Amino acid sequence: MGAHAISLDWQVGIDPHFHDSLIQTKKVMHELFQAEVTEIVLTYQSLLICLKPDIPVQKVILRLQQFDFSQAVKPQTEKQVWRIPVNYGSESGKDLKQLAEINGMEEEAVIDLHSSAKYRVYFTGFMPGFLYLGGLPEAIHTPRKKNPEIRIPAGSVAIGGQQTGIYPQESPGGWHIIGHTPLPVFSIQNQPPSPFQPGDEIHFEKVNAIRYRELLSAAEAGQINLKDFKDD
Amino acid sequence: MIEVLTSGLSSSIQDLGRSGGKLFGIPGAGAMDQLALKQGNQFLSNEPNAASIEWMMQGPVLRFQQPTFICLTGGVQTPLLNGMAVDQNKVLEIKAGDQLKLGRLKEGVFGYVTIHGGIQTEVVYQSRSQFSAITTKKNIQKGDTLPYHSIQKRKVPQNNRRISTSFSTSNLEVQPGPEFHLLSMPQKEMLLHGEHQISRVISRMGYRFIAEKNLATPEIITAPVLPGTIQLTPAGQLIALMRDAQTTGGYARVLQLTEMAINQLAQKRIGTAIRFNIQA
Repeated sequence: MGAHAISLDWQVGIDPHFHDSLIQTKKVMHELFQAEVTEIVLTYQSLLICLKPDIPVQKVILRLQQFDFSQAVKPQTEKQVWRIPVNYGSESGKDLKQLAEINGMEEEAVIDLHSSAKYRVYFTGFMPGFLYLGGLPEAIHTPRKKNPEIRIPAGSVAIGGQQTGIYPQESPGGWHIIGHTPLPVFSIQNQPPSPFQPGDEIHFEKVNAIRYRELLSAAEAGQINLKDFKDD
Repeated sequence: MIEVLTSGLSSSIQDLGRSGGKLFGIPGAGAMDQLALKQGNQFLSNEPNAASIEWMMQGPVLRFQQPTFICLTGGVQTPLLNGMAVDQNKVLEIKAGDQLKLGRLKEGVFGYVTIHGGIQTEVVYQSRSQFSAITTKKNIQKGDTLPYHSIQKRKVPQNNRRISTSFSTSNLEVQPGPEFHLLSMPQKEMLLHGEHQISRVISRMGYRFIAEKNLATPEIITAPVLPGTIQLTPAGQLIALMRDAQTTGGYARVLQLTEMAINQLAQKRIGTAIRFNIQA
């Protein structure tokens, strides 16, 4: 795509095993094309290889044609497992009631389903720090709102279509907000700005009002270390 | 410092943009018309990447606190320095207290104020380009003060070489995008031989075209996108992604503008009809 990028696309769909091999392919390519590549963007079934401005695309394409993609199917790297505290419903999740009604269930049932599933981080996109997560239980797949909201607060946990996610910054959006996490999931001051990596596993954990307020004040004081929410 | 007396429309600090942040969903950003930025920097003998003030249609009013040299580039403008008309594409000497009023663009969409040594605001991921949640401010606001190096000398080395832009062309060079092959023959015909009109929705993120029903194409599984990627929606709307575009998208990527064509499109106004000229 253009003078400085090569797009590699497969027709596999959204598949965690294929995604694992894509993560490996990306690693191998980073090593192989260290001198030529600035960054590689990974999504569900694509890699976008961004080249330094002075590198001729054709030269890299020729080398890619000789690339043995099977060498990427190597032992898996260790994934990180995260537990994200969420205050579900009430003011934190103002659309929970409506979302439960749309799906013909109780609010508690929505919370149970959402917080008992295991989610896979596929990649970050849409806006800085926004994670594309796979694994939302089908019973709570919910079409996006017809009229997007102008302002969704940072930290909102929401459902849109077959996906769930956390809004890293205040932004407009058409997803149903079901809760709020006090964790600063993206901060340009942190190195790296977001600790989540493709292939990581995420669990949402329901917290009570007291714990939520504790975490909120810790977040306001800048005293939250995201590592404390990662399994050892 | 430059004092921002009025901000103008969508004015922001821009250099050639950042890389290394796509992994975290951080867009490249950078000047919409990079040739205009490079031209101004070249006239001033700056690094091509020196940061400038970019403005859209309606320019800011600025006051300079120290002496320096500036150059105004981009769309056709009628700038006033202390109330007197001055030229664009020419190095202008600035004295302490000088006031620059940029006014409205007569042609094009984006104007640039380049300055000797570049604007010295914070660098985040190798760039000063402003972007929401990345830099402290997402654009320039009234009352801001923007630092720059003051100069001691009366003269700066000047380089008057012109960069060719063929600004006025309505033929934009493109390459096929990853989903081009999904289009039917009549759709390809329409896309490459028809005229496409820029809609009212244009921003640093993207330029949307008036929808053409027969071009309608299904969504794809979310995939990487770049500035210059032309998406096609299920409603038949073409969207040319520009410098602030998100890093991934779910619409078919049917074409990719060349670097030159991104700069050219950036300066096309609402309602302009353009054609795509595919490169072999």
